[in-house]
Amino acid sequence: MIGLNWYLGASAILYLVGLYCLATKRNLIKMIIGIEILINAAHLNFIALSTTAAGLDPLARTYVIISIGVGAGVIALALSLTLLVYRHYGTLDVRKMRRLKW
Amino acid sequence: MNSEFVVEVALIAFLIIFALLAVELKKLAYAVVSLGLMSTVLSIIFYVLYAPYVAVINLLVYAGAVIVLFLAVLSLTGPSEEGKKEKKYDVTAEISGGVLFIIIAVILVQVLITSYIGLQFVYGKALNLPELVSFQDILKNVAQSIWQIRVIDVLIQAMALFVAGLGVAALFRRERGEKE
Repeated sequence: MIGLNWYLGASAILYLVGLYCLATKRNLIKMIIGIEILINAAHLNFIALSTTAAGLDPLARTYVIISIGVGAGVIALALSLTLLVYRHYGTLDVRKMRRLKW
Repeated sequence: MNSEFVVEVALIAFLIIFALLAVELKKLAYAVVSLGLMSTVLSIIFYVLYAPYVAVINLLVYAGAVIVLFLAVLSLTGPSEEGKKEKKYDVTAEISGGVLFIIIAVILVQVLITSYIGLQFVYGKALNLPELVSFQDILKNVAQSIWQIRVIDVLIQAMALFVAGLGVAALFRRERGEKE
C-alpha cells in the first residue's frame, strides 16, 4: 500500500470536484452526480484512514457499508424527485425553477 | 518504484480523471457511464485497501443499481438541453459560482491541513486506536462488527431503504387518469 497521504489527497481532490459540480452546474442530474462524487470521497477517506500499517479498523468499514446503503437511498429519492420536477416544469435547468407554487 | 506503487497511483489517477469526465462531459449519458467507471475504480481501490466487503457492496450498489436508476431517469426525461444552453453565457452565474467554489475550496484546504496536523498528534500520542485487527482477520471482524455491535444501525438502514423504495415507487406512480 502506498502512503496514506496519496489517498487523503485523492479524497480531497474528489471532494473538490464534487463541490465544483454542485457550485457551477445547472442541470439537476449533473448536481446529483456531484452529490454522489462527494459521498464517494467521504467513503475513500474513511477506508484510507482506517487502514494502517499496524492493522485495520473493522468499525470504519462497517460505517462505510451502512453509508453506502443510505447514500443509495438518497440518490434514488433525488432521482425520482428530478423526474417529478421534469414532468412539472419540462426542463432540468435549475434556473428555470423559480416558481414556488406547484 | 515498484509495480505496486505504479498500480495504485494509476488507480488514483483514473479515479480523478473519471470523476472530472463525469462532471464535464456534455452528454449526460456519457457522464453517467463515466460515473459508473469511477465507482468501479473506487471499488478496486477499496479492494486494494483490504476492504473486500466494501468493495463488493460499492460495486453492486453504486456501479450497478444507481447507474441503472440514472439511465432510467435519463431515458424518461428526454434529450439533454445542456448543450444548447451553454452558448448563452451567463456571466453572473459563472462568477458567483466560481467565487463560491474558491471560498469553499480555501476553507476545505484549511480544514484538511488542520485536521492532518491533529491526526498526526492523535496517531502519535493520544488515542489508542480501537481494536485494530490483522489483514487476515478483517473479513470475520467486519461481519462480527456488523451483526454484533451495529445491528441496530443495520436494521434502521434496512427500514430506511424500504421507506426510500416506497417513496420512489410513490413518486414514479402516475395519477389515475393522468396522461403521458
